[in-house]
Amino acid sequence: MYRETDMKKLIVLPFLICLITSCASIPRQAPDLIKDQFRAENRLMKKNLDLALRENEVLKTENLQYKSKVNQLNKTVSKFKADLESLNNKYNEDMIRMNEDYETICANLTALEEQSDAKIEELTRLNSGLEKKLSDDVARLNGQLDKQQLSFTAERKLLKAGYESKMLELENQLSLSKQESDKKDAAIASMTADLKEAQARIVDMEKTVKEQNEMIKKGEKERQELTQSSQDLQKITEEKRTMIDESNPKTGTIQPPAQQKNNE
Amino acid sequence: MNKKTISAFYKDHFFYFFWKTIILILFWVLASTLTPASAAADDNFVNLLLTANLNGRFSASAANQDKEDPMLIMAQSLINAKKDRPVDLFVDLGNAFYPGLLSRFSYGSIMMDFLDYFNCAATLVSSQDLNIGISNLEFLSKEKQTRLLSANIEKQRNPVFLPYFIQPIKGKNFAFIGISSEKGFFDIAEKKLLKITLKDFDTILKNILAQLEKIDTDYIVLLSGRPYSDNFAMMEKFKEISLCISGGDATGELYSVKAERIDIGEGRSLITLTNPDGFYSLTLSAEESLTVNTLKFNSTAYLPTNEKKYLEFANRLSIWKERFVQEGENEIVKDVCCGVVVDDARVTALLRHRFRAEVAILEENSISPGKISGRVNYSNILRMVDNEFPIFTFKISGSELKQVFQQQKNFVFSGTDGDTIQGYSIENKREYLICSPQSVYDRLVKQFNRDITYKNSWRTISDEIKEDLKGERVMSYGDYGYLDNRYRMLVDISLSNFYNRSNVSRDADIDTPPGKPVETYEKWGLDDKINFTIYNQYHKFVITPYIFYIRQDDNYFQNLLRGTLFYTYNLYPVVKPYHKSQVDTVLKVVDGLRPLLFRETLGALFETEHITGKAGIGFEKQAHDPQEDLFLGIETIVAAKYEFLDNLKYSFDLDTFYSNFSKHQIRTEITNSLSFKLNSFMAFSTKYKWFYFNSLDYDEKYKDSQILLSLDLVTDFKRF
Repeated sequence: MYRETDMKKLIVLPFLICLITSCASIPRQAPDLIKDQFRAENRLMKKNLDLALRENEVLKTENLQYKSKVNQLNKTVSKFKADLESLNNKYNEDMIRMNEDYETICANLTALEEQSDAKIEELTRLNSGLEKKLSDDVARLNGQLDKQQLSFTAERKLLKAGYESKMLELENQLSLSKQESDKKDAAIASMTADLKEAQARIVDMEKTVKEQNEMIKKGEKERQELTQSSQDLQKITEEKRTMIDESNPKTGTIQPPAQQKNNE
Repeated sequence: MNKKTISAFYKDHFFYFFWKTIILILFWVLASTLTPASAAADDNFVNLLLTANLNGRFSASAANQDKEDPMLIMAQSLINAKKDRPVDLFVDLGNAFYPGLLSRFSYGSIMMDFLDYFNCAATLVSSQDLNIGISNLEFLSKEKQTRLLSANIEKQRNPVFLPYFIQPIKGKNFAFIGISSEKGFFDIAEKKLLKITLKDFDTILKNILAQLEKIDTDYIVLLSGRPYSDNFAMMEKFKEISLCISGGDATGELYSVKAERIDIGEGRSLITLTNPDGFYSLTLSAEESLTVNTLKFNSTAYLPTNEKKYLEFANRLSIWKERFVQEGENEIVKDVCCGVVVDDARVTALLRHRFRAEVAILEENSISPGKISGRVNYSNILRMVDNEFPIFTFKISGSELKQVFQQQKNFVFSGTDGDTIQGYSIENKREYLICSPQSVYDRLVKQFNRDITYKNSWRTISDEIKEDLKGERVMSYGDYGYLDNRYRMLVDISLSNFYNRSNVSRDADIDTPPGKPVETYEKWGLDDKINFTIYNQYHKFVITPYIFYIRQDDNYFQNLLRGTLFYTYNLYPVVKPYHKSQVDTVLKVVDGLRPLLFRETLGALFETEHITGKAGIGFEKQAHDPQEDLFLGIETIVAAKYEFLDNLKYSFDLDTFYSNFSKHQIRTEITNSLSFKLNSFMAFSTKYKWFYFNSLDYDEKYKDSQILLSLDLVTDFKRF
């Protein structure tokens, strides 16, 4: 019996081991779930809080900026108000002063108006006198002008007749001068033809002179050649004379050929 | 100019004056004839300004912000557009609040101000916006002119945000309904406390349209964050909707091509805002039906303005920036001596380190890569981390992990290459400990469409990085091989027990009825095995106590107690050297004898997906009752398993020890079993065991075969 119980234990044991090991691998769900729930809440809250805090910070900064801007604007408004007040005071003072000035000016103006009215009246009177005098003068001058115009017309007609006769005379003189001028033009034309002919002859003569000059140059050259040949001959003659003198010392002196030639 | 010159001028420009006069006359005639019609057209002409994916792209610096802050430039452009042409309504299509640095810092407050100051009538709540937090968005929308729109986000079964709003434009009532996409994830804290859920849009739309029927509305415009396919379906199902405008989460991809406008007949259209770098102007004709005239994208440009609202907003923005700079200067770590590189991969490794997980997963671009050195402050961390979800640890099966690795393209993994974990092949049925932010967890829940039990650490990536920079600085290691050297313990339990008791009472002369027991008996048995596996990437120790005991009354049919210590060195994934110590004895002393048989072997283990084989050499020695000489032998162990169905598994085990040296004998044990899994830890199995012993020296044999039907308790767990 004891052994059987032992064996039964042996059968149960592996199952127990298995059960224990299996249980070890099963997650402890309930506490984990609660923990997970807390962690989930924590994560969610953390995210929400981060967003809220950051957004709040930004809005706070923006708000501060707006506040400082509002302060600045308030200061500007106060400054403008003070300026406005001082300007109002100045305006009131100016207005009082200007009213006083205005009243003075108005009084002056009234006095001046009175003065000017008297002056205008006087001037109107003077003006009407002057106008009358002017119309009289105009009428008188118009009469004088008419008279002068008549005398000028008669004088002009007279002058016109004198001028016309003088012009006729001058035209006659002009036609005579033209005839003379034509004659002189014909003489100039014949002289021009003569001049052309004379020029042609001068050219011919220049040509002839040139030919003569060349001939003279040629003769000169020939003469120089002849002179040269006579000198050569003289030289030969002297040499021959010297030879003769040397060969005949007793025959006396013979005249050199150059001298002979000169004598000839 | 004298008289002559003037007449010459007119003569020269005669034709110019002539044509000018003709054109003016024509213009006057046209204007006088067409003006009434044009005026009528203007009355039906609606101009909308639309934005999407603004992402709270404020710059962090207040200096020169009018010229350099993208959102202020956007504001200037919007103001200018409104001046150019009268705007009837300005609507944002979502993802306005996240992930801009300043917007994150202000929990969306500054972005809400932006929308409010510049007369945005409504913004659609989209996936990225949810990162701000539902309760925060709810808080922000209070007392604001801009409405937060979403019909399908519910808190305790009531809409959190405005489902729709009615806007009179040019004497006609336009109803705008907002439908959020399913891309986003709700913070776990909000899910738990506020019972936030995303309602099925179909039912919601049906209810709203029924409500709108009772109100005097001329046109219904749907603002959607869903993809084209869903929008098509909605437009097809609900013909009352005149126009669908999508943006935010909607990419506008249709057969991998981006389409901004699609007309679906009866003058109805779908519009998608695909470009986030500017704003769109949408002109509509509101006649018998609402038809789209033009959709024009406008780039933003610096256009200075002195508008009062702009100046006020710019002032508030600069205050936020100052706050950000002030709080950003808060010291987290006094001095990170050397440059610490931070990126997705290193942070994933850090998570694995801190949570002792086998695998850590992070979404790509959760971390902006960079190098940290010297003083680290709050703004450094904020700039760096783009995921503020809490970190979860949870277990998924090996097959699920493989699917995640293959299918999720924008995940960064640490601890696995998709095939192995800590140097061992991923086992499909085995569970692995994963560590990831809640956003990744939510994606996996969506992918597998099942609840995955998780543990919330209530800590974020930022918390972990801060903690690490203050202390260990794991991120500076670079080499994370040591994480694979961590020892883990695995326990596999397999218990098969049965008990059978028969009570027979009979008179002395009665015959036993056919098939019934002759006398009372008690029969029970155990076939129990527990594997304690302690392993790291190189070493694996498996300690296995095993009992096989069957007894009927005083007769023992099986009486084996076995202990095994099995060590393998993880040299290669397929071949591994091993050492095995095994001791066999009896559970119950029989006739005062307790035989003790030792076997020590050394060999190689070959491992594939379905078959494991061990071949080794060693010795066996019976040390007790009776003591015998040691003899050498060759050990062969083969284990194969194959799953026909998810619940039906076949396994085969062969254990042979053959000696042909000082002693000649062969000992073989074969077990075939077919197991049907009833639930995660119970299985019904049938086993056929065959034992064969041949003493070759004496030519004597022993054979034993058994068929067992049992209800098994099969379970496993890990100690990480």
